[in-house]
Amino acid sequence: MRDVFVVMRRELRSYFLSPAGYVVGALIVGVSLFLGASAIQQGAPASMHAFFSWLPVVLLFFLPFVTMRLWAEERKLGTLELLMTFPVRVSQLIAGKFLAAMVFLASLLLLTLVLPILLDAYGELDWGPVVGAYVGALLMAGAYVAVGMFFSSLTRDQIVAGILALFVLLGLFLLGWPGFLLVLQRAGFSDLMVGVLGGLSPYQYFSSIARGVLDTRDLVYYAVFCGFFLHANAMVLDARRLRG
Amino acid sequence: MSDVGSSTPRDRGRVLGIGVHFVLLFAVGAMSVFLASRYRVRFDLTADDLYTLTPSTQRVLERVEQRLRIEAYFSPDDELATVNREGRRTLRNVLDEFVQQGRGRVVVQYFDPQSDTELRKKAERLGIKPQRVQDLEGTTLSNKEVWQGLRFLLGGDRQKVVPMLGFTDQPWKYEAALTPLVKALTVAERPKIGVAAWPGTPAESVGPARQEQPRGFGRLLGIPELTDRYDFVDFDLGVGDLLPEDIGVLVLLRPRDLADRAKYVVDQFLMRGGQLVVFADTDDVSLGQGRTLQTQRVPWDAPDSTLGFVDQLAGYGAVVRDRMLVDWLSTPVPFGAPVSMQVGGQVMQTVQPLQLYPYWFMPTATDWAERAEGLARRDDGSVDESLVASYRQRFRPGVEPELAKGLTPPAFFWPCGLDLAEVLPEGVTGDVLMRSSPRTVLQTPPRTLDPVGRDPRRYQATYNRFATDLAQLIQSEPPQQHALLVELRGRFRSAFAGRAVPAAPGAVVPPSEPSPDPLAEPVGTEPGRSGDEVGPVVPGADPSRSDGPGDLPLIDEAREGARLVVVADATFLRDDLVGGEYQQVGGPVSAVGPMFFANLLDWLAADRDLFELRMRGFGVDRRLQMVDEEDRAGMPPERLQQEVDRRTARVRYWAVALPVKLLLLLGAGVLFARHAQKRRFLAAVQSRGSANP
Repeated sequence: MRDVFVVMRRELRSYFLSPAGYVVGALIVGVSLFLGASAIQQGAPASMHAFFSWLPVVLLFFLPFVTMRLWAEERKLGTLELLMTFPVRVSQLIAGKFLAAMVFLASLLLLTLVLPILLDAYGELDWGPVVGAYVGALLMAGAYVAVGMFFSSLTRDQIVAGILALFVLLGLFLLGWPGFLLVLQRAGFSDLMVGVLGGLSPYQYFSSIARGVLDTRDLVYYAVFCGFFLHANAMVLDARRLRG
Repeated sequence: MSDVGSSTPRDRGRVLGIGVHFVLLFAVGAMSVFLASRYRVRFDLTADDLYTLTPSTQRVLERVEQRLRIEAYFSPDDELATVNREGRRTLRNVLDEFVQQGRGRVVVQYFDPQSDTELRKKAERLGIKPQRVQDLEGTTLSNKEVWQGLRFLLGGDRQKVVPMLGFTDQPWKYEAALTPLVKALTVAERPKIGVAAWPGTPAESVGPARQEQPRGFGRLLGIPELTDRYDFVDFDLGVGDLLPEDIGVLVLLRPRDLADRAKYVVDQFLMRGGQLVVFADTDDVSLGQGRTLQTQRVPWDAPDSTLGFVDQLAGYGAVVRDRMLVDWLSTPVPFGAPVSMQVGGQVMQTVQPLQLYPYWFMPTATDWAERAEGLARRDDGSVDESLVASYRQRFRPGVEPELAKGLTPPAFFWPCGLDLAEVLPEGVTGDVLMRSSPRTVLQTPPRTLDPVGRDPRRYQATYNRFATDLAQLIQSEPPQQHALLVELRGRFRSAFAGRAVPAAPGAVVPPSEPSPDPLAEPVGTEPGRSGDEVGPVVPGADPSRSDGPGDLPLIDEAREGARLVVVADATFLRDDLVGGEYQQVGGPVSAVGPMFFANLLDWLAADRDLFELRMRGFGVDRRLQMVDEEDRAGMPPERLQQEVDRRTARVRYWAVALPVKLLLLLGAGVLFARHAQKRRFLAAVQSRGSANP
């Protein structure tokens, strides 16, 4: 565990000591809050619904640019080989990087608490769904990071990794979007097929949590989703380590 | 990605191995999610447990002993308008919850009546009907047929059908619609509610207006949601028979012309431990198409009655004032005056809204004690501190938050004055559940309560005069709250204790000793006749009837469970207001009235299941108020709008700018610190370099 924290600390320094981390962070926070705050109106319900409706889309477009450098940059700078020689397991390396990205995102989400605090000042905010939605947002961000890390491990080009992650995440997002599922249905996909495809999307599970219901099904899904992509990431790195 | 490519057989085998590994991994993951969704545990984090079946529904479903089949006749989801798709998903979730809670006894079957003519015919035979809606998708406007009907079939023989269930994203609304149906199917016998109703007098017809029917309460008592669950027994108090034992609740709707025998029947019902509800009206205001708004006293007592019903209620602890309550501060119900307008050469009827008609209002949850300072402010702006202290002590919320929980306050129309007796009878406890604001006056109403008159050109001027006069009248009265709904419980004393039991109409009354109490004159006495002349006064009376005085026992102290509820108005339950007949001409509509009545019955009948269910969604008001009520009072509308806009813009700005600025400042700080560190490092290197050339 100590080794995981060492890797995590190293990664966190790169987030918090580089201007890029702040710029991306400000963009994620600013855009999501701008879209969320548009629902503030006299007589409107004090709810974070608008913010959490947009957050998956904002994270979808910005997170790949946070995760794209995680492995690709190491490879480009040649530090990956150095990392591999350290007496740490690949899984510990991955866990460290993953946790660092999560801490970075959690600190960004923490900043967005300004919005619910203001809403509560002018109306009676129901904090239960807000807490649930923040938990859901972290889980979904974790899923996005896992996907981003996996694609970052596949290539040494950061941009390619970012674009690949973006397209895959976009696809997964669409699979959870009712409008797209309807298109599939009309295209002749069976109900079972549409259900299975819809069940793959992290967005669908997030919308369930965001309304204020924590369901073990959703938690298991995110655990499985993250585990799957992190395991795939480990396999890619292991293969690379074996090949020298 | 190109690094992964390989062409040797060994590498190909490894790639295949990896592929199989991932497929297996995916299968295990999918299975885990599937199992987690089958055996899931949910935590509803909403304050009102919006996404959890209420304990009420859970109890109702636990009591289902036979197989309950729910047939859902739904048009396919992709046929629905975009706005309704979420509603459909919510309904499916609710039905899924019903199945999970039903322990294998509840099943749901989905049918698409649009796919099969036979199915469509079957649905139509059951009474399930599609709704025609217009849907705008992109730029295409299309007419669609939407089915969302349900049939609940219990044990193969008992069934309930919902022809078309409206769409909503709120699961508790579906629950509130469906659980009563299941309950109605599973409960063998419905509670009996005795109802005695007196229709109002018909409105005076103006000009060629059609003759109006007396305005009764039939529409209210015919609402399927109520008749499904309660047996309303129309009870004629005039007959004089005691109520059957199986009636636990007696509702008096606008009582009038009560003879002593009727009052005795009511009294004994209460003494027997019954629950008596009185919807009181001391004045009847005609509305009608002509909008004459003429007032007429409601005579509560029959001419030959010796005991006033008002006195009888006062003896139990509820004081009904014989005047009309006018409230200046509770939430007003808008009043609109019908006007004709010339539009493009055509005369159109429209409604001119007027701001305040303080005879129609809705009690609010406002704690009026918190407004003591405003109420004690003098004309010169100074505040009388002694009054503030007194008001803080005296004034209470318009709706008692705990006592009236779930009893959604209705709008009251021309209510009468009501209070608890200052000293309640021994053994009786009472509460005021709803009350007016302190800015009230009890008024003997003038003959007409029309605020605008009959000349459309003078509507505003007449209204201004009406409002000014009323405001002056209210200002001249010391602030005082009046009850709108009171509840009394305990050991009531009979209003007939120590009196002779009044004879039933048409009964053979044996001669009796004259009572020393002038109020206790034997009933059956006609005006102008002495007590000695009491006897068989009704021609054709049936001598075989034995319910005369002395033949019926008198219970003089109430048994356990006796409860009296008095509501200061009955008009809000009247057919024409419940039906919204005058809505088109700006008249009032009692939208919440039937719901209040249903809640009250569930509350009285201790139907915990349904009462709890209805309490859903009437929790905390979570709307944003950019300007609070204190600041809003007395602010002109334009200024209020400006203030709202200003504060909204400010809140939006800070919601975005504060975290972003904080983040950027922190970033700039880190950047400067690193630069400084770098400079220090370079300076150190330089100084070392110059020290060791």
